[in-house]
Amino acid sequence: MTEHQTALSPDLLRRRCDPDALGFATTDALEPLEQLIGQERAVEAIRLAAGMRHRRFNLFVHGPEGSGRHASVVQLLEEAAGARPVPDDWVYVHNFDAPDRPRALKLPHGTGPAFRKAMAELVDDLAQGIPALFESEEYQSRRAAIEEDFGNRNEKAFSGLAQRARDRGVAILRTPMGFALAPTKDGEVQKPEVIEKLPEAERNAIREHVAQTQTELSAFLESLPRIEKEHRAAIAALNAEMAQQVVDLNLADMRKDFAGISVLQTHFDALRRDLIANAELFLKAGSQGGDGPFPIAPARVHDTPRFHRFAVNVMVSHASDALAAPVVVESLPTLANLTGRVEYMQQMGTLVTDVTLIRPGALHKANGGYLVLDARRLLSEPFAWEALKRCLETAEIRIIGAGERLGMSATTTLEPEPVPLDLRVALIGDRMLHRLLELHDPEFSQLFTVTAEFGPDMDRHEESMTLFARQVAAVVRREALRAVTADGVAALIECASREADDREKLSLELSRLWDVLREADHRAGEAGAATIDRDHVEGAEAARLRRTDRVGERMQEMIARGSVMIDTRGSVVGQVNGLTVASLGAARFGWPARITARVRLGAGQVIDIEREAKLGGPIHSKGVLILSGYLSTHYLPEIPLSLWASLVFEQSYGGVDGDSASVAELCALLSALAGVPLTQSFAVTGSINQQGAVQPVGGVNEKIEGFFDACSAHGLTGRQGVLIPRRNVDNLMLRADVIQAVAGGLFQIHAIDHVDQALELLTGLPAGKRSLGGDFEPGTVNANVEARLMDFAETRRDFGRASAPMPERRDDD
Amino acid sequence: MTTDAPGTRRVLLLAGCFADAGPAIGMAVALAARSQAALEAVLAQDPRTEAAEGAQLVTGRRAPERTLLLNRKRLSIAYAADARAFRSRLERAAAERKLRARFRIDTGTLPDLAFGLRQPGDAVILACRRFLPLRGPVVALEDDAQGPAALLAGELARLLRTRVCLLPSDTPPQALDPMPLSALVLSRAQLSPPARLAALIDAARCPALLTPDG
Repeated sequence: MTEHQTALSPDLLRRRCDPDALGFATTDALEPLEQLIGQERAVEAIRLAAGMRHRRFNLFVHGPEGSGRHASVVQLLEEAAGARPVPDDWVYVHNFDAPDRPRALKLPHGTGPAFRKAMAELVDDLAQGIPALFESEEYQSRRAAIEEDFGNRNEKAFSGLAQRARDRGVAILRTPMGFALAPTKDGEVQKPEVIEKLPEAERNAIREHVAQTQTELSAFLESLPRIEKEHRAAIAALNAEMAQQVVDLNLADMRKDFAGISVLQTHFDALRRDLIANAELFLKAGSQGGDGPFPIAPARVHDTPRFHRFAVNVMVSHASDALAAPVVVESLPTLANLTGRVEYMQQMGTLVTDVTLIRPGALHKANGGYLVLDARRLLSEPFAWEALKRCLETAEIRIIGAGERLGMSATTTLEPEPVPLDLRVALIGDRMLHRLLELHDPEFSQLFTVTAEFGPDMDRHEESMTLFARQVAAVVRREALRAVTADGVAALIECASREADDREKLSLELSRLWDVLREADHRAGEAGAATIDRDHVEGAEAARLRRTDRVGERMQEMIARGSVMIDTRGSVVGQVNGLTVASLGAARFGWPARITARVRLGAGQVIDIEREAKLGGPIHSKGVLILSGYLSTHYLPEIPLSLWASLVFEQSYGGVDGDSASVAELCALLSALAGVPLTQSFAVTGSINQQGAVQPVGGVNEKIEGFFDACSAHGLTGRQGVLIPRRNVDNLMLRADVIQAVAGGLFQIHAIDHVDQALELLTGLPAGKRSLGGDFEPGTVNANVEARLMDFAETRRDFGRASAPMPERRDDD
Repeated sequence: MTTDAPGTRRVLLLAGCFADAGPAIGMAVALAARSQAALEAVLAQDPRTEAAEGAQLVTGRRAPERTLLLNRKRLSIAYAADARAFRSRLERAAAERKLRARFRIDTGTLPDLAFGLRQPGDAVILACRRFLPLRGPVVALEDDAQGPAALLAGELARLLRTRVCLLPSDTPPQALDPMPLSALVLSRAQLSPPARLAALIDAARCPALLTPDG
């Protein structure tokens, strides 16, 4: 096997997009495509949920950030909403039978505001009409007749009583203690001592007169409560009769205007009874606003709290010319924003509320249509998730505040009638949230039976590239950007492949790409260009990487200054350059890491120092165990492995995970065993299986570029390069400067299938295969390894004989 | 307002007990506020009650077989309680209209005190009340429709949201007896003889106003 067979040519390092193949000059020539591309499965799921009438077919949408989940879900739901009828209006009105339970009325869409306006006008009209009626000549006459009647019956009775008392010589004196009955003579009260001196017959006559008067006065006073009651009843009957005229007159128009709505006719009946019974409310209507005891003409009184019992609170209304069901996006799904709330106002130091202070929530607004919520925000709001589930389960919206749920509400509140609920909820979240809800909330799976999963990428082919270009055109149109040339779109497609980490794919995390497009437009503007070209796109992408690459640059600087020790020249036994990659937010960057191995006689142990120091993750440990397996089965399978070896990522303090360094670790170990130096001009990435086959890894582009940058800092020699798994070749979308260096012979990239290829490239020696006799060819790396292991085994055996019996090799060593 | 008793410098409210004073307090405060006059109230202790020591009391709330006799000590306590209630209600009503009120207790019948305490510029209210809260007209005994009693009656009628009824100044007291009066307004001509004034007040059994120039 030669370098020629593994070295990759520049054309394999990045899949270019041919702008000529796109078939347009600029995006102006394209029909913009606003629809989602590459997410057919998710779209199918969303359409299913949107179209199903069963109430448990709510939707959970998950996928990567920036994949356009929110916008796409809203767009698809809006399409579906067009096919659904416009929902009815819902209003709350006072419940005259149970004032703390406002009634929810369903009205034909567009009727709510008209009903509210009509009620306000009715109250204003009655505030004018009822006082006018009560001041009318008719009312005054009839009222006067009643008063005179009672005056005649009652006051005349008293005056007669008083006259008879006078005639009897008894004075009726008012005192704070009651009426005092005192005998008089010539109009003067007679003192008791004077009376005592009178003859007995006269005294008896006086006592008789006082007793008669007392009896009459007592009877009169005792009759007063009954007469007062009769008086009140007579006045109330007159008031009701008069009020009825005005109320019926004013209500007649409303009954006619809303004739077809039976629920309103029922409400009007209750309203009529209440208006008549409480007509006196309107008599006080004008006595507000500092006009003293003299009333002013009332005007817009319906806004005053006294008349809120007649108000109509329109919770949700849809215009009469609306054509679609609502699609509501609630960005802050608190309990109150979701289910509505009852507000309070302060009145004389007390919190009070009424029907006008009931506020709708997103569920009210979306009722009959669709509600889109962010799952994470919903779950982080106290009580919101539980409230949503309760509403979906019971198919009704019941307004219960957090204070009431906690039993902390210390004031009288309202319990509005629940509103029937019929809507589809779309929760947008991520896979982990979906999984957690599935596992820990049994109601979730029952209520959210449809899952739409947005994929991270789609295949890259001619059709998908055309669709992608049309989406670029849509963004250009929507955001009034400059047109993008075919070459600019090609650059964006290459960016999409790089984002996908696969040149056969296009990333569907489009928001990041549209950010590049917007920045490219800005750059084109600064350059005075009329269109966005490749240079602008690549410049924007490079600038974006540079802005987010501070940590990567810092690493490279430390390598260049020798603080992080990386050799890019020479050869060293048991030492190899591995490659690591890290993600910080949107930024990913790679850099080399020195891996060293040390060996000595032992009992078949390979020590993973990272794991021992608890800096290694489980996948890394698995990789080390796999290479141990390779070692123990590939060399001297019949003889106990008498080795102690240690492997370490030098200067690694932050933890290592993944098995992408297992090829490098094995090479370092074999180098240490064979005593063959490894060139430091190469860096290696790839994982290994127990047969020595090299398996693909992630972040290959960043890793290559990281080592390229490290080598560039020391100066490119032409012998430097990176060994990658062959199966990663399809992932290559390398930077232009790397490709340029490869094309110029200053840098190499090798694709390998087996660890032996890595050994040959790193040592410059043949790896060696077993001959028919079972031995490796002499002078090869593998032969040296096996010879060293044999030495260890013999030494171990000899050492055991000389001192103590050697312990049996255990499989788990 | 030029017709609301322009010469009013003080509104003097006289009541024999708190129960009678209640309906008249609002009237007195409103009149004082309209004319920016001083407000003074007097709880009048009827001297006849002292003479009637041991007389039977009728309240209408007590079993007929149980007799309560007028007792000077109890009466004194009852007057004191009435005075506190009267004063409190008066001051509260005055404060609501940003007025200050003076209050005191005096001895005499209402007509006697009206004659004795009245000064030029005083509008005097003699507080009485009917047994039923009847809402009738404000009656003025006035021959001239533009006379001071008629004008004051008009103002009171607006305040009470009722009508005005002008009766001849020589209307006999018994004619008022069956009428459901809200208030009675008297002109100067009604002040003498005092017996007629007393008879008018007895018959009307409602707040009686004496015009300031009376």
